[in-house]
Amino acid sequence: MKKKSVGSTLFDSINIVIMLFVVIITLYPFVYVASVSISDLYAVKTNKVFLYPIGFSTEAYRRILQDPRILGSYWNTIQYTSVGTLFNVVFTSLMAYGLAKKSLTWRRPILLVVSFTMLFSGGLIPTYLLVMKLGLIDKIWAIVFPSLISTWNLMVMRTFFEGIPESLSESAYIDGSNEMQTFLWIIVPLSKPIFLTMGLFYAVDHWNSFFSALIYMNTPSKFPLQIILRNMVIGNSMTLADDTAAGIYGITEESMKTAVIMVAVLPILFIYPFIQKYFVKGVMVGAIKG
Amino acid sequence: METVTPIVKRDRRSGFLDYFLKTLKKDRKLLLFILPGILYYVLFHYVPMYGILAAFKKYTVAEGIWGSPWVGLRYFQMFFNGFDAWKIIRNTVLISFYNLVFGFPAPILFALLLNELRDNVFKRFVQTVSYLPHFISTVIICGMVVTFLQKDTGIINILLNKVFGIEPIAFIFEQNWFRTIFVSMHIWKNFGWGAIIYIAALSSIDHELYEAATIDGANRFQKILFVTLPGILPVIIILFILRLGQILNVGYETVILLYTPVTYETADVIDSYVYRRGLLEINYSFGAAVGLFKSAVAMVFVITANTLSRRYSDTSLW
Repeated sequence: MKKKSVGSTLFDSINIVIMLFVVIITLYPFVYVASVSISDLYAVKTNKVFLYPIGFSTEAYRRILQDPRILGSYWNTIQYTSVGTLFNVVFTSLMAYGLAKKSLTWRRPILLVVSFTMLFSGGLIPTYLLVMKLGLIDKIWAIVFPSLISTWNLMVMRTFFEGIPESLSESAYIDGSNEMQTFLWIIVPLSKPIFLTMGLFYAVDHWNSFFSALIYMNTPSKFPLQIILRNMVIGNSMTLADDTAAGIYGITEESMKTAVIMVAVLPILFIYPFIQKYFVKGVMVGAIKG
Repeated sequence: METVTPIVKRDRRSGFLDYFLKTLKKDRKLLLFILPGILYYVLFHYVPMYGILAAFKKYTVAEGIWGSPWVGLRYFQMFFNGFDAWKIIRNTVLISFYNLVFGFPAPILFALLLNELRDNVFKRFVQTVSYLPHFISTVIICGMVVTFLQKDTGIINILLNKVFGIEPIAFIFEQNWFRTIFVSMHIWKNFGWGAIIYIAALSSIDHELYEAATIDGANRFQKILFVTLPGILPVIIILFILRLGQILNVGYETVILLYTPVTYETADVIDSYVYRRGLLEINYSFGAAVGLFKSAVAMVFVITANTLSRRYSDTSLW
């Protein structure tokens, strides 16, 4: 029977307190924002809300959801995310599979060329000039193409494909299948987990992205959610009051801001519990390989 | 149907072009797979490298890179002779340094403490909660930060005022607060996610080592010090070295979202400077020059870091 020392028990108690503190620090911002967004407008204005909602009002949400900028940008983000992720997964997996084949003559040089891009890049201005010259400014392709393949994801996928025995594809050849058919009908079904993980990685990235839209999109109707969010909550010039809801909606500035934040963050919060384990696995695979 | 692919031999009589075409023919089935990707890398990664030339020319959009006149190092001189260079380099390094000093140990400590929890259900709960900030977009987090720190309505100021009697501070507009805000934000966002690797490393420590320590009479804290820590030390060192390689990459999205002209003094980093002065103010050549400077120096850091890492273990980016 092991005797636990006093110090050990004390440590355990303190540890639990620390962990609870960590949980509170992590969750409190969301709880606060959620509470303010549904609280009575006057209570918010007089700073009465700090943890739980005081009174009840969906006024802020009503105004938000009627604002065409917000709905429009939501739809934009959905479009950019789905198209972008589709292209990402298709092209990354194709290249990863090709690079996984040891018989490829130029395999080494290509890997070098690809890896070098993690080391050095042209920089913001040259890339921007290129996108401009290609005529992609203000089009969805400016968001999809420049980050079409993430080298990190590419390498992770390649490692995964390398783990699939050659004998599988070889027996497919013997049965008369060509490379693409082998890929589509044998490899892909086997690789569902990695496709799912990669898809999630890319999708979350697209959903949260704002900088590429910031530099490449000029028409407000094409802005994704994050840009609108930024304009409303942070403002894009010197003072915070510029361009935010304050000027238009008066009393409900803080209610407005918190409601906008909630609207932007709820999808992530909803799917988070279901997808987080895929991400963790993905990181572990990537890290252990690296 | 061939299952053994012949190796293409380079023949002295035929030239390189022939060799190249032969390899293409041999690998033609795989071309469809790798060609789009190669095109992507060439177009969006290597062509911009050519665009770096804009840093050495007086670039105008109409003339393009070819047509613009050569000016050599003029823009580099402009940058280094001005007042900004020192400021933004200093800011970049300082913020990176604070991030390192405070942000690097945080996930390690968290992983260590988490590992000591007895209840697995609680452990998993805390872990799952800790990853959450990683998935929230930078814009949302900055939005929350701005809301919390607002002078009149921000909860931090209300707390300071009501509980401690301190006058409200407009945090976002105070130079001296920027770095603290920035680093705290990043720790909040990344500590849980960064801990994943350490947690994995912790679970791979051989249990027999712990048992041996118990037999030798080690108490709990001694076990942590002499078994756990050394067990994850290799991971710590490698991650530290790789992190050093990233020292110039500070997280410009956050900077751009949170800084204001009032706080440029402490907040402006190299990337945000290139964005503002180079892109927004349409000084393409100047922006390209500063960007090139940063890419070159960053490359030196990354190569050094990877060489060190590879020498210490087998781990590196390639």
